[in-house]
Amino acid sequence: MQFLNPWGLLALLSLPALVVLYLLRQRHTEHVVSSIFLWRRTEAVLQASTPWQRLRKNLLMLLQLFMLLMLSLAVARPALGSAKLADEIIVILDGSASMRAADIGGGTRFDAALKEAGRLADGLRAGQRMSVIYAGPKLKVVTARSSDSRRIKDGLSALLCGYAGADIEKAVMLARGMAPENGSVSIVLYSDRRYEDTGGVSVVTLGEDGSHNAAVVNMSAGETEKGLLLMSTVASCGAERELMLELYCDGRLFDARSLVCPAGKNVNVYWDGIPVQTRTARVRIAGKDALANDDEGFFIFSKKRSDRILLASGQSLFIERAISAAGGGEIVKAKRDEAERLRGYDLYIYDGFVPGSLPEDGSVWLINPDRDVEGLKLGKSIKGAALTGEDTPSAMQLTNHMNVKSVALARFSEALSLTGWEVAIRCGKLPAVLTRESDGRRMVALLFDLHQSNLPLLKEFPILVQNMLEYAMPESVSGDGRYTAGEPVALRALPYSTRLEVTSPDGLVSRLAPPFPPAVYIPEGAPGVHTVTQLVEKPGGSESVTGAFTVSMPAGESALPRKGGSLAGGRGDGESAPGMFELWPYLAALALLAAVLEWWVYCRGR
Amino acid sequence: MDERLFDEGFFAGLSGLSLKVRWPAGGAYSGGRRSRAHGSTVEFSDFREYVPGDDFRRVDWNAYARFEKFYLKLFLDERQLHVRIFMDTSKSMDCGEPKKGVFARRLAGALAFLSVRALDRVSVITLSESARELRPPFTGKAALARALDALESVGFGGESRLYEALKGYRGLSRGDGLCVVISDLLTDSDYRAMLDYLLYNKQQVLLVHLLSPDERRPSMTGRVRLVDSEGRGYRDLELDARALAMYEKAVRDYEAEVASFCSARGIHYIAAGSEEDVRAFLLTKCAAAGIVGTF
Repeated sequence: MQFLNPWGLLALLSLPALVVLYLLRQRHTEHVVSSIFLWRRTEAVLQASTPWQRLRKNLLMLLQLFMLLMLSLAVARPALGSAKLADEIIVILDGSASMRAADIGGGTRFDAALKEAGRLADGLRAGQRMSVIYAGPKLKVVTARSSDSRRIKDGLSALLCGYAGADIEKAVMLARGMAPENGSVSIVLYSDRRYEDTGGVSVVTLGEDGSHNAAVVNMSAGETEKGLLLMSTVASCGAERELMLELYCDGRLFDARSLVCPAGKNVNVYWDGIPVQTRTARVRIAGKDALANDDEGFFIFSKKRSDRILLASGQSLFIERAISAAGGGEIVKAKRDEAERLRGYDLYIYDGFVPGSLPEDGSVWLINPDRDVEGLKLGKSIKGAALTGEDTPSAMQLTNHMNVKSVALARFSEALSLTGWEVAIRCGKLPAVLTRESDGRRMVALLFDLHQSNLPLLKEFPILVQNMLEYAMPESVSGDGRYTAGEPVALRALPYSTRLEVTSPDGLVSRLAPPFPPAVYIPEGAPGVHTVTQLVEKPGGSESVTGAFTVSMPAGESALPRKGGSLAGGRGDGESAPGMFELWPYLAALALLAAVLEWWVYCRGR
Repeated sequence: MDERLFDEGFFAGLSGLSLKVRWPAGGAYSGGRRSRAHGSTVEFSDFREYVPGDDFRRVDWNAYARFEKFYLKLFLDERQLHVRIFMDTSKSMDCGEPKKGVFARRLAGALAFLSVRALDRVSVITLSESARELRPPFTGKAALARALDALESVGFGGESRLYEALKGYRGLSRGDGLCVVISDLLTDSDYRAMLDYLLYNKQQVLLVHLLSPDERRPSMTGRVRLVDSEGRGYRDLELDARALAMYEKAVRDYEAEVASFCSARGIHYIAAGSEEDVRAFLLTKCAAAGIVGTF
């Protein structure tokens, strides 16, 4: 046992002070009576009949002394547990979003964890060393094997709780790896997860089991005759609560509803009649709960493509239908001779021929090219076979969600050389689909006639067209633009993009490019709408293109209390009593009990 | 300065009262009380045969004519009663609210007045560490007035040693009167021995056990030091309702104990309070005890 506030022991001086007060209080009020003859008889009766009456005076003092002793000790904050720790202490701090729950004396669980770890650092004995591992989306060793409590506390004070999950199991593995071969080690985990099998790790469980938390865990949208339809899913843990939900469309309050959310269940709330021009929606749970950061859900209504596509083909029915189904944008069909001179499109599709000069203001698809083009030298038409996909990034993008092997070619053009081109799909061992990227312009070449393959008849065809559209005319944000905190966001640079930046909800700007390709963005800030801004400098002029994606907390972080997995399988000399166990609440309770008892004895004696 | 204890109004209130005694008076002087001896009153008492030496003038000649024997006709005699009023004048009698000493002196004066009016001989003796007669035994109103003056100026002090003081008193004769003891009996001295000593001297005894209201029901509480007024030390006590209740019970027990002792010996016992009016005390408690009657 140790005292976290040794100066508090000075309060013990109040004990002799009380005794002195009692001694001073011995002065009696003097009364002259006619005789003490009868009083002597009474005194004898008193002594004979109620011996506790004489004791009562002492009993009051003893109770007061006990009360003061308990209070003094409580001020000194005695704590149990530190002495049980080994010479090597490894502290793991759970930095997951649920640790932001503010249900420990007005502070967050993470604050309490920092405080406890700080106390542990303060209580280091001579020869004890302490390491600190921060378990967020990524593991971080804050302090390694230090006996300097100030240094440890400086490291702790620089830590911030994240908005993502935490891989505690990996952190425990790292801690076990950091443990010296010889000697005992105590691994202390400060987390809000309830572990059934701690595997020798001393788990300091933070947070209250009965904390109430409501969260917007999912958002999705559709379109109806009345306009846009938004569905928000609200989850609640703790007791059943009545919640007030507010919907903000592009920052303006659009609707508000109250609902009763049963404990531990999800409730879907539908919002209809949202104007079609709405760009972003935000659903907010009014009122306070344990975890505030999951009280909002965001949704970005994606706009249909407005790209202009030039389709130059005489037999382009399959491609036209597939592009239309993918919502690819405005398709302009042109004949071969017209296509030679038409410019100003985002995508040029040449089916069965290659124009004299390729356009430079957009991406290009070459389907069954009839001549050599930009480093691609074609040979004779050869017999085809089943296709196989490559594992390059561009190839994987093109073949995403496709069963490539189900596609077979009857015949295709042999590529003799392909300088500057990258093979995405092969037919046998020969290239069948090529990609090329130069100066921000992307090109896809299919070295076969669609009619010479079973591709248009397969479900893979619209998928391939969709993938080719995304490759040729990439959006800043791929997919549905919804991410969770800590999840890597792969942003794509538009053709001719010279700069790509992401602005987080709290205004922090991260520049991801140049250099290209853009770096992977990992949202670590507060949940909300992140804005992607690209500066596109086309030959005809420059423009700023913006996109957005939403980041929310992982849904599992909202469920309080959280269940942890097993930490078994490694070293750790900790017992079931984790960290420090402060005794002051119990001492204070004893002092209160003594005060009540003293009052009762005093009243009974009056 | 105390107001006067005795005034005309005080004695006017006693005009209809008389002091009654249970036994015949055995005094040496003739007085107003019926005596066991035969005397010269007109009230016939008995006959007896003549013996030589008798005054033949008392021979009943009518009886001689009938029986031819000499018989003497006897008549009752009236003697003087000696009323001794023993008043405790220890320091404790000067305490209480109202003071017990005031009541004691007024009661002594009233009894002396009633006695003088009944032609009794009166002695007022103060008892503390020793016994002292205020004045020599007296009769008559003039002497009573002087005795009352002496009562007015009686001082209280010293310890209460009732038995020792009484033993030192030489004015006590056997079987000649009534002894009234007015005391709070708050003393280590053996009151039983004192009363037995009076009975041994063939005295009729009336004990007035005088306590003040604050002695019966004290009101002080808390941690107190009770100092004995007669200098017999002190007691430090923590007084609360429970302790006070026990004290009051001790007082009642003490009074009952004294009353029981007196009852067993034919002693009149009357518990008095210093807050009581003397005339009311005489009319109620003393009358109930048969000590005082009305004409």
